[in-house]
Amino acid sequence: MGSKGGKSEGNRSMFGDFDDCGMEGREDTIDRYLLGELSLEEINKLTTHLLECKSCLAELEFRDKLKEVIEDDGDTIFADSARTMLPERRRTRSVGFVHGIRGYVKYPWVVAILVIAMVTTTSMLVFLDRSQPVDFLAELRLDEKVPVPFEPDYLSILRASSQSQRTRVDSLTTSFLAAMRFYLEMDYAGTVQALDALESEIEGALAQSDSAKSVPYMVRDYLFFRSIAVFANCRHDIETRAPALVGCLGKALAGFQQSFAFAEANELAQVDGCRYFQGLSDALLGNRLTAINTLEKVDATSSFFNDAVRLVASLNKE
Amino acid sequence: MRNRQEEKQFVKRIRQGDATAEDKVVKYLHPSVFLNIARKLQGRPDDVEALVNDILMLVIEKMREGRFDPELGKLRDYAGGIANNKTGEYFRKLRLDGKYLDITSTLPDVPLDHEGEELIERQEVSDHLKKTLNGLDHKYKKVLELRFYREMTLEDISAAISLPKRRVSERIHYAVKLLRKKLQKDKDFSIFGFLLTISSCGLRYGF
Repeated sequence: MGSKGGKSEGNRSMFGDFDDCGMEGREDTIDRYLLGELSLEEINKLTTHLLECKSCLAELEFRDKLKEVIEDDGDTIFADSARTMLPERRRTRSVGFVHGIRGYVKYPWVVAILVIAMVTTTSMLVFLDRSQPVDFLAELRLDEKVPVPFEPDYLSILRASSQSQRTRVDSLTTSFLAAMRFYLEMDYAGTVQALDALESEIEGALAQSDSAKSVPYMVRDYLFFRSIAVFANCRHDIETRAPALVGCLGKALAGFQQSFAFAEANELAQVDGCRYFQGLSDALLGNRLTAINTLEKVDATSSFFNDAVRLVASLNKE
Repeated sequence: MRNRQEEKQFVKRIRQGDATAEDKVVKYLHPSVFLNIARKLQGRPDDVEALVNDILMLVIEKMREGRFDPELGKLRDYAGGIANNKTGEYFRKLRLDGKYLDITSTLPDVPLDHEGEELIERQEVSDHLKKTLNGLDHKYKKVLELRFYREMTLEDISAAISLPKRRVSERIHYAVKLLRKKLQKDKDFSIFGFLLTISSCGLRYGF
């Protein structure tokens, strides 16, 4: 973040071209500052410079305004670009090829034509292979029921717990199973509502009863099923690639991550499919590498293993 | 913090004593508060940092006490309000200490209500910027979306769109430059249009 040029008066107009004061990576640093990616020490360094350099201050002002507009109206501004979240194709560099080969081959143009023909054929083959994109919507299979993998000990632990705990936890279980009924009927909006109503009750139970062993299982399942239901509710946005998709999937993804982390922290078995749905959400959000990374970790014993392998293969093709 | 929902989550986390959430809110608000104060305290750069820190601490305290309600407005605007009060307090204190000379008293016919005008001007700039953003080429719009809307890091964007990190960075800066150029062009055109209208009126009515 060093400044080479020292003070600069610059152009104070928000629209004008700003003088470059010579600060290394000025725009990147300002963007990182606006997006909260700088450490406090870096912020102090930058603000000290900004107070001396009007040109950089004007640059910050413009970018801050841009970020504010995007933050407020991003949904409408980027409504159409939500369709294209897939990576751009890599470009091959061909400049200088013929010139470079001249010293080695007598007829470079013949070689060049042959190479071009080979490249064209290969690219056509690659194109044909890529012409079938991943149908994420089919991957969701939301017209089928996602299996409900209840912990087998879940209810037996409950039965074994003491009478006073049972009364409290029992009512919670009844409400939880009622919410699950909405889920099994594929009423996803109803599931979200019913689980939301349980949120404070579950948090309370978790905080108070250390000995009720069924509660942690319930929290894990609650987080997972709430995310699945949120996920299912995104269906319309997925079909239309609406801007709301990012927020909707983001919520589901956060829920899967929470469920996973909670199970890990409490040494519980993971809900089958938790990793798979995490990866699927990431894939839909366009985080290809994270998605591949997550999907590759799906356990071979999981009933979603084959789906995960297929999805990884499709994502690798892109 | 893109929406009210996210702000609500941060309020909840801060009320539960989550220090990471506090750190994120401070870093999120720092640029806007800093710009606000740097604009107002021109000529007094030494006090900017301390005042910015005071304001941010106050915002966090109020959030801890549950006095910020995301339903009533944006966190950024809430911090802006606190910044205005604090700056007022700062200047009052300077005046009482006799260290502050009110230069506006020496200027003739200075309009008193600048805030309203500024607000309208800022709204106009926002509308204009939004329109220009909409007309931007798709590839530039996409990098701006990923960086500023989805708040992805350069590394993540690079992985997502399969472009080297340096190219992503260059593309973002070019997109911002392009935006600024278009805005400047529109601004020049509107001034030119205004002058043209005045001159044609002048010719028609003979003055």
